[in-house]
Amino acid sequence: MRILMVTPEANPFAASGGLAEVIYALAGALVRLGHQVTVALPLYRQVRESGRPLTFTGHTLSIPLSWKTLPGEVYQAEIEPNLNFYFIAQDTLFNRDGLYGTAYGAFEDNAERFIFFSRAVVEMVEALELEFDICHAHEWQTGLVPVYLRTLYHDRPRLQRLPVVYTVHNVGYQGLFSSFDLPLTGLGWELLSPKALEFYGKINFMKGGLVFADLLSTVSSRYREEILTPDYGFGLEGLFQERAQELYGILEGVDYQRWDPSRDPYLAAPYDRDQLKGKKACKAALAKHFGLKLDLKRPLLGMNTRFFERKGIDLVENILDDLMQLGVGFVIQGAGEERHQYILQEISLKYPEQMGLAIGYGDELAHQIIAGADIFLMPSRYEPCGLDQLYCLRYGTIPVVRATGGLDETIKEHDPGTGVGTGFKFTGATPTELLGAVQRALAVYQDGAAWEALMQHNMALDFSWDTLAPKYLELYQAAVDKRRSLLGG
Amino acid sequence: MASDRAAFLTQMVEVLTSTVSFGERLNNMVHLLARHLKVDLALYFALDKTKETLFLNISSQGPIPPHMRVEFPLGQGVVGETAVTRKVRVVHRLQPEALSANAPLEKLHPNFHTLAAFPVADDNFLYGVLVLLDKQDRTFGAAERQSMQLAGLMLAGTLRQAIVQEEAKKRIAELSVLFEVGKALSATVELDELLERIVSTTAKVITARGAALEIIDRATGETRVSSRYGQIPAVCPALKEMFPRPAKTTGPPHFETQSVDADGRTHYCLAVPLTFKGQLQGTLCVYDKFSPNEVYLPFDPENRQLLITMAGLIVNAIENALTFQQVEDLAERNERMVQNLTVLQEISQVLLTTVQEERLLEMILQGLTLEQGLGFDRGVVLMVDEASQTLTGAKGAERAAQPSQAALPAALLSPLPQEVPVADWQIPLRPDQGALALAVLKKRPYHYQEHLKEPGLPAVLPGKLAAREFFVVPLIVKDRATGVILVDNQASGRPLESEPLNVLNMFASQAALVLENAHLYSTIEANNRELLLIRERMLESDRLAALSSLASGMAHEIRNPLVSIGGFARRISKLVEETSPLRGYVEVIQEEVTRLEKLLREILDFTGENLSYYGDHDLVKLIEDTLVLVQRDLDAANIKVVKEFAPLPRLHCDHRQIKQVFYNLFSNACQAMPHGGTLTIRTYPLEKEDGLYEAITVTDTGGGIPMEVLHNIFNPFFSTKDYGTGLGLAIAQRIVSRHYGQIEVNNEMGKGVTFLITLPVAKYCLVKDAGQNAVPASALKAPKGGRR
Repeated sequence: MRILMVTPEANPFAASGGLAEVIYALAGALVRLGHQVTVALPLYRQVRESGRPLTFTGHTLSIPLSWKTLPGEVYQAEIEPNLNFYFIAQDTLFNRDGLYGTAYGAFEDNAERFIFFSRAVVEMVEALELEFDICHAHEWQTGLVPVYLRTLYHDRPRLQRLPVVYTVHNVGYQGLFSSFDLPLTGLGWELLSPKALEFYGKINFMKGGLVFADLLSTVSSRYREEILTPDYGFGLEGLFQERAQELYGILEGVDYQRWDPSRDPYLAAPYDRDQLKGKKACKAALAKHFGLKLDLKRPLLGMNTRFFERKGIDLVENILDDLMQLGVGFVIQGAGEERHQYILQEISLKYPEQMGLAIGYGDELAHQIIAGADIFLMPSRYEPCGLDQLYCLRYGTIPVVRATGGLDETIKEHDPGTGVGTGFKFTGATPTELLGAVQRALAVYQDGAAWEALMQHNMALDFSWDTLAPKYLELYQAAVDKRRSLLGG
Repeated sequence: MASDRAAFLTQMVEVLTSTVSFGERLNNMVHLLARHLKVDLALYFALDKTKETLFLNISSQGPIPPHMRVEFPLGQGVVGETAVTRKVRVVHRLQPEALSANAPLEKLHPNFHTLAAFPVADDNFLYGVLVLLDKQDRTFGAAERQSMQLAGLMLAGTLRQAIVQEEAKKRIAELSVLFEVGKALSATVELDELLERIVSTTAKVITARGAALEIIDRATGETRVSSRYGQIPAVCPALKEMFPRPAKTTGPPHFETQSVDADGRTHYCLAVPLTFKGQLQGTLCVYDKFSPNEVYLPFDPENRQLLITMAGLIVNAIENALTFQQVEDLAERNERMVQNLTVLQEISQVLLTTVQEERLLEMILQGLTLEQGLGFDRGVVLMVDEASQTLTGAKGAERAAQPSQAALPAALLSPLPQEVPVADWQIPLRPDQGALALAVLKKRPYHYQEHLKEPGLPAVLPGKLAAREFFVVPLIVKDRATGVILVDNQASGRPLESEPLNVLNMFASQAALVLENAHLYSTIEANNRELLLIRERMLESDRLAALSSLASGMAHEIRNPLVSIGGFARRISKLVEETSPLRGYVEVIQEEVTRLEKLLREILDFTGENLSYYGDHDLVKLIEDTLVLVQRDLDAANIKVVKEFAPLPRLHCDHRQIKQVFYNLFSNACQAMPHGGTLTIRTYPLEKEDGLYEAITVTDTGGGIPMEVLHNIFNPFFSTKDYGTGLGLAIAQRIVSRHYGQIEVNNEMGKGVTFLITLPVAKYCLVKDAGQNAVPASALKAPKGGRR
């Protein structure tokens, strides 16, 4: 199958969160299954700085944006045979520090940026006469791709027959913009209706994808169920219910090429389930990295997160004092709302020997925290899939998670009596319940043997992409079939 | 401390100049300020659009849950006061009224002791108020106040930028809407299509459930055009609400209403006027704005503004389309007109081929009813009878069931498919006689419609003309109505339109002309025939005058020798023996002389050479006296005499001559009835308009006078008899006319002849007779003069 992935970020060129990883790993798994994958990305500054060679295809697209027209140069990079990247270059829009914003928040012109990107991708397929069997669009940034395919470009045979699957990674980010941005899309005003893009007087890019894509998916079965309810649907629950028959829940997987303690280049020492000594070295290195003065027998808690309340950062802030009293170590890396940065900074200044804070996000440190920590906290208010808990499993780091979405689906509560289960879960999004779950984990930690058994059990689990890619292929095939039947054979 | 402030200001400028969204910039600024001044809470209250209320917009603690949303009216609390004064204000909890005035803030920070509010304003606008709350009693130093002021300016700058950008986006969005509308407008000049596009585009850009457009003619109040899209109520109340515009409204005119339907749903309606330069006005109306949760939303001021702008844009397009439609209509009408004129021309060409009235009527009716012609279902021609002042049915026809395939000229000449009997249509020409009579009297066409009272149906027509409506047009020649044409579409039930009426009018004037021509032609022909006759008579009368003068001369010349011959013959007869063979000769001479004398007398009578003997005589006595003279002949032929004498006054006349008249008439009657019969003699008084006459009829049963000789009977020397002089009736006529009377003949072929003689009674006769009781003088009227 020839697959076009349209995504706002993808490793190894541009990443701001888990999506980049997911795309790259999924693409890799599909290629391993013998398929051709093409990934379309904006040409961010990050892409230029990735150091990989880019080739100008010679095609420059003219993309109308309201009353002006911007050129979009198409660049190409082949990562490996059958894995191709196309980039849409438009420096006024994409040659910036962040992908979607800065430390102070999202770019003011994100609507324009991703309208441009989505339209350019569609134009690119037509202009370069690229042949694809399926288009797979991700996240709100590409929500207009299905819209363009099915409205403005519907009369182009190549685009008309292209099936499109739209995957929602997080309903919390829908791409809501003022209705005054509609002219930028070049779409008719009739699409500014509740049946299409309109969402309480605004334009909702994700809604466009959900309405116009042939099939929909999200990243876990549990999350798929959750978004049918008002608590998690963020106002789109009605639309999800309407299309529930065409909404699939497929977990994201782990790229064990990159996430395996036995061959992780970032670690102080490699280790595996039979040889756990290396993990102690990792823990020591991590403590040293943050300048902690921690007895290595004491448990070290870790977090790679973003400082948003949806990640439960406020819950963590609330129990940090209590945790510190328990004498545990805590390291956290992340970026996000300044408010939380400051609060965390204040707390870390209070406990410089116990707590380590790293503002920002580094892949290396992320690996080191997952490897070096004993316990990993994921108190998210909602988590569509979550990958860190899966990495933790392989790295013998025990996850403490809130029972939501992918976390709830992939982590089973550990029963110290039977030894069954993989982690510790809490349900209510309150500091107390979080603290309770951490304390349950700490209690097991006291029993060294049981803890080691738990670690070893977890490290044997397989959440690799190779088990999940076939499910996506099934989804693609269903979309192909649906499109074909819609076009009458 | 100073470096702290520098770092703060650096960060603030960083935020201010960042490209992140405005909301996030503001959030960051509020947060930075709270951190820099080390206050528990910083709140930004924004002034709302009405500029009356300040509502909590940003909190340094992050998103504001709904129950924390507080607001202050302008002038109330520290927030409201600062908005009015635009001055920094610091209040402490223990100050009088500090707590009560700012109670809502307790919700956000239950233990605040210090409240510091400063305006967020640039040199022009106030955007809102920033409030700092702290649980400590705080005073703010000059440096801190400067930071606050700078933060306020930066916030204001960001807000200003946000507003400007939002405005720009809005303008662009509006432009794009208008562009879309413009595209729709310029895509067509067809009015219907244009209106459809307008309402559908309007509904789409406003995201309304329906839209409607209505344009009325201001003069007549009638709807000129209307178009609807989507789901909308049947009646738009906007039009009558908006025109005339209520005096007290301000701002651009518009109309908004909401209503609740049976299901408890609220419906909204927004309408703006369309104002044209000409005699039109209208509305553009949208209904029920969509929302995702199926509840309709009211329209906001932006919708209104957009609709008003659109209204201005579409008016010109509609006006152009209306004009285009008018031009098209005109062109179409012209084309039809040319067609009609062609038809009329063809018909008129054919009509010119004859001057026969009957044929013309047929052609006219064909022209009216043929599909290729005027195409009416039925046509009737009625002509004016000047003498009786009535309108009389001339001919009528209905359209053929099978349409003729022939070309118009040929079809016109074909016989009428189905005639309508109209001979009994007799309509007196009075204004109360309905449309047909009125058409003649007023010389203008009428469109009769059953449901209209005026003009009505003529009294004689109901039952004969079953039509709900018809046209009637007068046939006018030289300002005189000679008849009418009536047409209807009763059979097919098609309505009659005004356009065919115009064509019909033109047709009628043509028809009137040809009918008049035909009529004149036939009159001329008749007159011509009469003139020929008169000419013949005059020639004859000249001949007679010469003849009679010759005859009278000859008669005088012959009479003297004849007297001599007669006298000598009588003398000779006395000398000749009774038995002498000469006796026979002498008697022959005598008889022949007598006969010649009689002939001479008659000739002299005819030529009027005799003297007259006038006197007053009883007419009946004269008749009786004359009858005696012919009694022998009557008896011989076995003729019965019937006398019906009415009492009459005396007549001033020449009794000898009158007796001569009767003698001639009686003799003729005898000769007409050689094998018996009845001679009827009647006398009676006859009142004519110029006086009293005595009338005498003499009727025989002799089978009448052959038609070929009838016109000759009063001519002298015309006789059907071998031995007649041919002067009898000629003398009689001459005598009667000498008496200012008349003699007429009424010939009934196969029965007999009646001669009617009328003689005027002189006035003085009546006076004389009065005493003798012949006739009551009072009952009779004498002619005004004896002679005329």
